[in-house]
Amino acid sequence: MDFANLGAQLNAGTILPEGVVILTLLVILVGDLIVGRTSSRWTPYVAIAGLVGSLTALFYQWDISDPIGFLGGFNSDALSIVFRGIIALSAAVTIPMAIRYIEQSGTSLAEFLVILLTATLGGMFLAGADELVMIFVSLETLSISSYLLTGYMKRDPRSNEAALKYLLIGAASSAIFLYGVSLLYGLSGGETNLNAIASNIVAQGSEPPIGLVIALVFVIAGIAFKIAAVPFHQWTPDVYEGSPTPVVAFLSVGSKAAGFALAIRLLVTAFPLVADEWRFVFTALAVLSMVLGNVVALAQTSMKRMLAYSSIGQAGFVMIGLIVGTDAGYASMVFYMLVYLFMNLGGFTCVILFSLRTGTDQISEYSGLYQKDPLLTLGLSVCLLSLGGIPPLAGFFGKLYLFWAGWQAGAYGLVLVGLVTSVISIYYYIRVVKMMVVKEPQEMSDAVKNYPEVRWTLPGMRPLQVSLVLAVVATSLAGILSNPLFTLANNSVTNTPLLQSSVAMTQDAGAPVQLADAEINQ
Amino acid sequence: MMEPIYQYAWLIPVLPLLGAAIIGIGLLLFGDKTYQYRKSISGFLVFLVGATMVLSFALLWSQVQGHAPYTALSEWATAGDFHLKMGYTVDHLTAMMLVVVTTVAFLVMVYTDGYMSHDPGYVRFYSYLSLFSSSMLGLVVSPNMVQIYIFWELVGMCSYLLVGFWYERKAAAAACQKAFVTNRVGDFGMLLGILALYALTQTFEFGEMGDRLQTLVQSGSLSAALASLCAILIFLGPVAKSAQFPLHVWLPDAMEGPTPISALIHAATMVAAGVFLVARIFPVFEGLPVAMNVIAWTGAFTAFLGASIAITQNDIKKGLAYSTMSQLGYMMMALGVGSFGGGLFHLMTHAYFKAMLFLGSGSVIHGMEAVVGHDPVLAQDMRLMGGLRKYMPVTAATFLIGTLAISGIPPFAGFWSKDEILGSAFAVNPALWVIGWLTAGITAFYMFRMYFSTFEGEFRGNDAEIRQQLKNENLQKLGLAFGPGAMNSQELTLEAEHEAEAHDADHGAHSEFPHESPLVMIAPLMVLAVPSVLIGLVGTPFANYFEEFIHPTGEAMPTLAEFDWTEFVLMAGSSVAIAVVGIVLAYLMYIKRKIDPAAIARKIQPLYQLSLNKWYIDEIYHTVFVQGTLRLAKQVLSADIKFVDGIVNLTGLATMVSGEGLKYFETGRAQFYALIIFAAVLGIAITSSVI
Repeated sequence: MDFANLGAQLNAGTILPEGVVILTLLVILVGDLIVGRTSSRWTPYVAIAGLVGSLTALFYQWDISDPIGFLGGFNSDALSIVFRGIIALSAAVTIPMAIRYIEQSGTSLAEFLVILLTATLGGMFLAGADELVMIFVSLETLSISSYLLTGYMKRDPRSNEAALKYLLIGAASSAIFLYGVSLLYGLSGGETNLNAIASNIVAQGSEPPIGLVIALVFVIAGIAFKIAAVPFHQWTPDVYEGSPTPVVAFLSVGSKAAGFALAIRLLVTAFPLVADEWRFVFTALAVLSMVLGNVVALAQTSMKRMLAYSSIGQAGFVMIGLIVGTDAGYASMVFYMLVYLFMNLGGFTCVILFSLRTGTDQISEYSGLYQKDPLLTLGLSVCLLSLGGIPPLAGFFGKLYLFWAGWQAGAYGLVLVGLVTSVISIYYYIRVVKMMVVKEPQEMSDAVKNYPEVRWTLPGMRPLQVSLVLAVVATSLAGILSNPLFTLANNSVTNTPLLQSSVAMTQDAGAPVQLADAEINQ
Repeated sequence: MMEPIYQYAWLIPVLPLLGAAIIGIGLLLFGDKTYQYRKSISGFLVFLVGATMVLSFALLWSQVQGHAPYTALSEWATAGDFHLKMGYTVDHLTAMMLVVVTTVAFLVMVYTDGYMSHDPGYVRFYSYLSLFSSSMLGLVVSPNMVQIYIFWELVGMCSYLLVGFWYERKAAAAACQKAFVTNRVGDFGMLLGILALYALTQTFEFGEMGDRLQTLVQSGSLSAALASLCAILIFLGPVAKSAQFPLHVWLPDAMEGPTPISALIHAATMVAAGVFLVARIFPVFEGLPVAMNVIAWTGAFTAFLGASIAITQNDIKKGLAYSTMSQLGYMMMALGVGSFGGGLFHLMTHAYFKAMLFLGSGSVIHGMEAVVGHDPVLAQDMRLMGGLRKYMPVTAATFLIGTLAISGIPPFAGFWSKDEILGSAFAVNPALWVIGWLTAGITAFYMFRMYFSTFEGEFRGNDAEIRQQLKNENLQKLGLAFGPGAMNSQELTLEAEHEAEAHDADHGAHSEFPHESPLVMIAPLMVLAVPSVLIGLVGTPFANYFEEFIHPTGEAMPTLAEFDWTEFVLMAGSSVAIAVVGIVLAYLMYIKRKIDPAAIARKIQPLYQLSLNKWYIDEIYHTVFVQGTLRLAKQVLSADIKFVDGIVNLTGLATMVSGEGLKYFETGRAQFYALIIFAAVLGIAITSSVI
């Protein structure tokens, strides 16, 4: 049997975007080995080009006729394409901000890029994985490269500590997840394909076995660890604080997006029998995340820790879309992730820039920044205000859509909690903005007083500037011109057969769904 | 053949807007540097308005030739089956209004060059003027209620900017706020009315709205009372904008703005917007007798109120302002009694002669400032004027023409339009006619009083005693008890300040006698004098071209054919007679001094005070609304501080405390984290299994 035939049988074209990433990764790895350290001049751009190529490949896969590849192991439906796109894009935006950071720390850039691309690869496979083994392998690819990235600053004890903690907690949750998966395997009579599992379990009887609930809880523990939902969030602040900031940026967007993709696919496909249970568990997780994430963020003094807690809170908001399980709910998740990508990465870009120039990330050190660096102040303000959901920035429309979807579906309590906690979140975001724009020179912090002259000509600074401007522009414009993103999010949901059948089921089951699809499709 | 001018009719509002935008941006970017190019800037803006004027005349000509009305629409917003269209429409009414607005705007902009030539805000003033012209023209060409409302608000905003043009003057700052707030009251009612009518008729188009409303009322599915309520709500907008009682209080105060503004906005265009709107949605009002009566009586009462106050005003601009209010009342009354053509005819004639009168008063003030300095208290007071005809012959002649026109002396423009209104009022309700007729007499009296005390007799501008008296009166108005024995230290400082101000102002005074204004100012006066004399001839009762032109298409023409000479002579004769009586009275009082006005004032002290204090309406509003609102606001504030703030602070405190507390769960120990994960899994598993 020749390769072409094999490829056709496996429908290998579905993983073309991942193939591009793998190729890029190899080029960088081998190129770095051959050329040596000077490779850092071109490797980042190769990596970005590879990711853009991967995005292009994803774009052309949008209307693919047969999305199932590798004998049911991989599913390249519209939902997975959107999430893979988000992950690849987040990596592509992370790279420009990492160049200067890694250079300044004196470590090798190419290796960093290779590990980052591996993590991206794991995330992308996870977003499309339709089979238990595939899920676990790609989850571990993502996790292990994340641990490596976290500990990338080898000489920094905080980075080491973060990596170790992340590894330990990650291993524990992986173990739980694996246990849950194995239960699922057993209950379904030896199936690994998600659809087969669901149909086998349904075929066994009407009443869901108690083991299924246990499996569900264990699986959720694994997912919740990835998306840092309370109470599985405790690693987040420590890891975020210790890791290199670009890594944090990637973890907070790319890795989370992969987690959400996994959550949708796994829960919707494999656990239709216990849909009420997983909705209930996620409601609890969402409420806890929104409340705890936003409340504790108030008390933080370090910018990175504050953003860590804020990302926990943001994940709580996104979970609302997952819980309501309607077309609008899923679409609002996708929309919010797209918007969140830009505003959060933009925020991190600013934090990186500030710490590169001053060597600190204490919130109090930001005071008076406006007078020294207006661009940075503007960028950070726009991103933070957008995260807080201030109109007319993108974050406002993202939240609006999430809450609207939740309200339409009757999840009043959740939406109210979301509203109250987002008001709380505005406080800590605006506190930073207010601090930056204080007028009196005597209120200026020491770090800002000694602020170096703004120079963009240093190596690695130009990409940072580009990525900052890009994120700020996207954050400001995505709100007003949100229609393309909105359409994309809606189409990705309506084109996904898996979600369509689940939406139909929830409506048949008489779940509290009073959503008029016509209203969204207008 | 005429199509191109219709296709490009959208340029009419857009050209001045473009000018305003370009100059406005330049002003923002370069600030005071624009001042050195001010002549070219003003030339550019005047040129743009001139271009729109030419286009407007072309449109009017084409409409007179019988071109069908033209409407261009494009989709603006769509949501479900809700479609909102924007565009422009040109019909007879629009064409007439376009010509009126553009000619007055053009002349006022020319005049401004002279009047504002020494003002540092010259460029800003021109860009505001241009913006205003654009808004007003946009309002005139609007094809539906929503668009009208948008431009309505824009016009209001421009008025705010222009009245408060000299924002460093306290009175101007207060006046522009008063104008804005008063207009908001009316606009709110209007918005409610528009929305209510939309809810009832599902349309924003004028014609359709009226038709459907009539059908609804006739079929009985809508009570006439409710329909009338909606119509009256809409009418609140015109009440505020056209300074009708009870929302007229802003107009006299708005005279704090520069005089060209008073001529353009507060005499000819913006205040006429209310009348225009009522005419525009005439189909809505027409079939609702209650609403029509409300309009007619509001108009009649306003006409009388304005005239009665104008008698005792000494400020030349304030006097003209009350007269404007009174004339607008006439127009409303005409529309209220169903005389569509009469109201609009008076709107047109009044626009020309009142703009001329205001510009004339500006010319007078300009001349007086040479003598008394830049102090509005002195420069605008008629008691300091007198005998100005000697010094400013052109201004005096045009002012006299305007005075004759407004008094309704044939063959001046005002005679024909006022006569038509009085005629139609008589046909509907003689009581309305009596009010209108009496008001006509009062009008003639106060206008000639104004003319005589300004232009005839001896010049009193250098009389120090009168100056001091005026200043004292002004101080008294500011709320000081002034007189021997009532002095305290605060007054002394106030007076000192005032002296200083006056001293500054005296710098502007450089001659003993006023002088005629420059050509750029008197030329517009002379141009405006032409229509003030002649324009009435298009609407004479025996050959009423105007009525024929303006009357809504598709409706039966009123029977004009049987023109009754006896009736005309009776009606016209009586109104001319009472006007002559007014003029003679004014002549006897202010020229011959046979009758002492002061003695009369003493005899009817309460009535005199009532008129002088503007029927105490401002005071009543102050007590009821301003102080009432303040009291309410204070109570709400105290409730807010005690109750709402308490809750908010408590929440904030609770959040901070819990945040501080919860952060200690982050111990940093990995085993503890793992423990929490396992505990959470266990807890969730147990809870979900139990449920």
